Amino acid sequence: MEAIETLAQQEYKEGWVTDIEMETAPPGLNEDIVRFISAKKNEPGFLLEWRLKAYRHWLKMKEPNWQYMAYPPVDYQNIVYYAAPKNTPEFNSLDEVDPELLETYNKLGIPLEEQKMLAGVAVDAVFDSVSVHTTFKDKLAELGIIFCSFSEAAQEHPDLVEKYLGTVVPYRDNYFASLNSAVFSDGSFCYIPPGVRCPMELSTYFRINTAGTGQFERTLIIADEGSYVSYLEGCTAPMRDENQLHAAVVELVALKDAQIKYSTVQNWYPGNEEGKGGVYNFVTKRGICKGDNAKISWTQVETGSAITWKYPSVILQGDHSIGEFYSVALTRNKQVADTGTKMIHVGKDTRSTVVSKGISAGNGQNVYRGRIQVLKKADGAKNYTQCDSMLIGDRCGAHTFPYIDVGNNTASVEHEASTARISEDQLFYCKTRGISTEDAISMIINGFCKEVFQELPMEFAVEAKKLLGISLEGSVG
Amino acid sequence: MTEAIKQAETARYTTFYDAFDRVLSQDAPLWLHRLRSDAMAHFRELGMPVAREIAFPLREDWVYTDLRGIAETSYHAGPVEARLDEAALAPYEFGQDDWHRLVFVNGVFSPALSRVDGLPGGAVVSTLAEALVEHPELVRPHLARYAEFERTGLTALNSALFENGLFVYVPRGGHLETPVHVHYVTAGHDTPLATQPRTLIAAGDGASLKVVESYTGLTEQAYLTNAVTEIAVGRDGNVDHYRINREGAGAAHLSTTQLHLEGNGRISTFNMCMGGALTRNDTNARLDGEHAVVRMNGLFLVTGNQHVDNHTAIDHAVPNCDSYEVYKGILEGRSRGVFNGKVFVHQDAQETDAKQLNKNLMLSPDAMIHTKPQLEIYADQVKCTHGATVGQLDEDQIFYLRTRGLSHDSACSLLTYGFAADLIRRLRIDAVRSSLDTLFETTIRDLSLARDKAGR
Repeated sequence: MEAIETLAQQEYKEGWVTDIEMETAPPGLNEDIVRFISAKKNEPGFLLEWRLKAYRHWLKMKEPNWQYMAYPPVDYQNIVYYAAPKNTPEFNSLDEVDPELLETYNKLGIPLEEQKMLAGVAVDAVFDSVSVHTTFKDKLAELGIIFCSFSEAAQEHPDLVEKYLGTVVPYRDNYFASLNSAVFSDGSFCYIPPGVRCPMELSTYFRINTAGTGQFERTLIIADEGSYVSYLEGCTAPMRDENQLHAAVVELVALKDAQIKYSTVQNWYPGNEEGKGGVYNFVTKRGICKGDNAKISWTQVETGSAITWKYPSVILQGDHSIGEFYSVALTRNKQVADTGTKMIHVGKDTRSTVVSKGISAGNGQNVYRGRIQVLKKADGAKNYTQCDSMLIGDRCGAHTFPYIDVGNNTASVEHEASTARISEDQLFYCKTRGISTEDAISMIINGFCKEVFQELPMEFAVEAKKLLGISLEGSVG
Repeated sequence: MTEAIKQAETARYTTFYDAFDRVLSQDAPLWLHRLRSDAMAHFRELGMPVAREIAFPLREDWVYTDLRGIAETSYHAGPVEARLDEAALAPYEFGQDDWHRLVFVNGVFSPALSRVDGLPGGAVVSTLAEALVEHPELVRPHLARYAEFERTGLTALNSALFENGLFVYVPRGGHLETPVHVHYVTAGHDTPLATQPRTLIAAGDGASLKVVESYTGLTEQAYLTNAVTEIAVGRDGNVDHYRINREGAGAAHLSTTQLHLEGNGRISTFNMCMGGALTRNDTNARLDGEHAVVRMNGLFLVTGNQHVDNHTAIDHAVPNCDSYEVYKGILEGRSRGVFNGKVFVHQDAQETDAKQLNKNLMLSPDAMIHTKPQLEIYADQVKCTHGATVGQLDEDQIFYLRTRGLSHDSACSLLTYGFAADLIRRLRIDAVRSSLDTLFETTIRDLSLARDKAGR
């Protein structure tokens, strides 16, 4: 198995730092900083009030301590809460964009220009904190779809923001969500009007850049009655020696008959072999199926970050609503992933499916933590959960903590979990067919994750497969 | 903390503290006094695990079972003499006259109701109190060696206050063919009674034995049973263990069963629970020698406002061990069930095979179940699976039986019985199997009749 071991040695390929002049708030957190951020963004009064309420509540909260990982205490007074590219202009064409910024995106392989013409993907690229470019806006606008940065939405559509912000993840929800609510810098906002099927995959690329800047993204997606939207989120981050905290919040609202599909590929800097310098990814993601027959589907491929700590969840409030969660989490070196989902069945005949695949290599620790809750009124609720783990090497770990709480006797809940490894037999068989060890491992892993990958949009599925291959290079053998 | 709360807290457990002084004044070897004092020190520090009073991670084990009411009850701590006829026990027996039987009533050993004879050479079946006098060299290496009291208040309390219980020892290569039945009976008392039954079972290398522990309540009154059972099996040893809970309607039954297996050792344990207002069982196994195998099964059937909580933990400390676990629950009325099954596989425990299954049948709209099958794995060459289901009877199966002429009720009873029978069928002592089989069949039929009367 030495070839398996070497896969983990691969250097992070996407590490570099772009030099762009930043306008930065002084490090530290107090009410003035919250007001500064709000003022910088020219926000309406209700938003500032909301931020301040969140901040005051956050002061009273304690950092959670139940997670499966330890990390050095975060000094919240030593974080820069606002950093924006200077003079954020309203771009009309790509020529106006700072060429260095475009270069960064090119390195990441986001062909902004090409995508505009060829791929049919609207990209709202978030560079550190402020949205710099949005494509296909006009085309979406024709259909009445609003897809813009959160700051823009706060100014142009304050009524929608006020109506839905914090309805799924309230500002008191948890320590990191409260922090985010107080200081969130920017993010994406999306509204699909009734009966509209969004004709393209909406996509945002997040990137952490300025040293010491925690990123606090806030995403809000609202699918009105009978609408459909598929949203992609992908991340990479430059190499850093200092831990970077990322505490994002994503809220999804699906009204009657609406469908939201949210896909994530996360490949932030995981730290070096000793786990030094990686990103802390502490994210609160939650969706609510507010109306009958609504559907929310989360798909995630998590290969990066020193620590990944998130539970994309669905509140199934409407009758006959559906929640789905598909996840692949890969940890190697000293990475930790504590992830899973919560499915809260409130309405009648609600259904949820959870498929989680954890792969641990090197010293990686992978945790599935999930809760299936069937409330008393949720007649006929159904859940199926499957969580499989694969271990590569004898120093890694795989853990499952599934909570099942059922208060209705017409509900049916099934949970299955298994742990496996790549057997010598499988490898030997592939080798006798002339397949190299690396290819064989990649093939077996991809087979293991197939159920999740097939839920990803096509472009993402291809990327995810490659990502998994690259991430595992040298850790199997 | 305000003064009032402080005072309330010091008032707690005072009867236990008094009982401890009484126990300590009894004649006993120094090592036992030390053990008790050590345990009591830990209990003073830990108290009972009341979820809202303890911190994570210990709290996590108690979030669904609230011991506050028990912690605040002032129990009569300790054994109380009570008279009991043979006939009162008959419904709880397995009808075998040749079995070794030890009966404890309200914590007091009843020689009149007990009998032990025809033991193989070197084997000991006696009360723990007698064994401490007659065979201290057999008791000391095992007592309190497996059930740790350093971190759990309830085990600490039992270790400090226990006065009697069952002791079984079978030496190397011995076979105790006849089952041992220990019967812990609570017959009631004018104040709520707390007993601390302690069971110690040790099988030497290659030895085999069968033990049935019965916990029976002959009263509707409130009382507390805080039991600790330790079972150690040597190399190639084999222990068959049953635990039958038919406590009274007002009872709180708290128990810890600690299994310790050496190389190639086998323990199969079955935990059945039907009685008690509140039951909490902690069943833990440590696989400490290669090729050891533990089978841990459990079945509960609860109704009314009953609450039953089964926590199990299987610790794969060394390579090549197997564990198989099946827990099933049937919930009627407003009952509440909790299952938490942990499996730990240590870094060196390669080639572990751990299988766990938890199935729950909810017969009533007001019942509630919390289940958490938990795996923690640090080794890569392992096969570990777990599964959990919560559901109701299958409409298709009911329909099938109805097309065969069964009434709706009979069909439901039959399917419910089938759900339980799957586990009962695996029991290896014929008498226990057939008696529990009948018990389940009649109980399920009665439940169905009651449901029918209630018009559901």
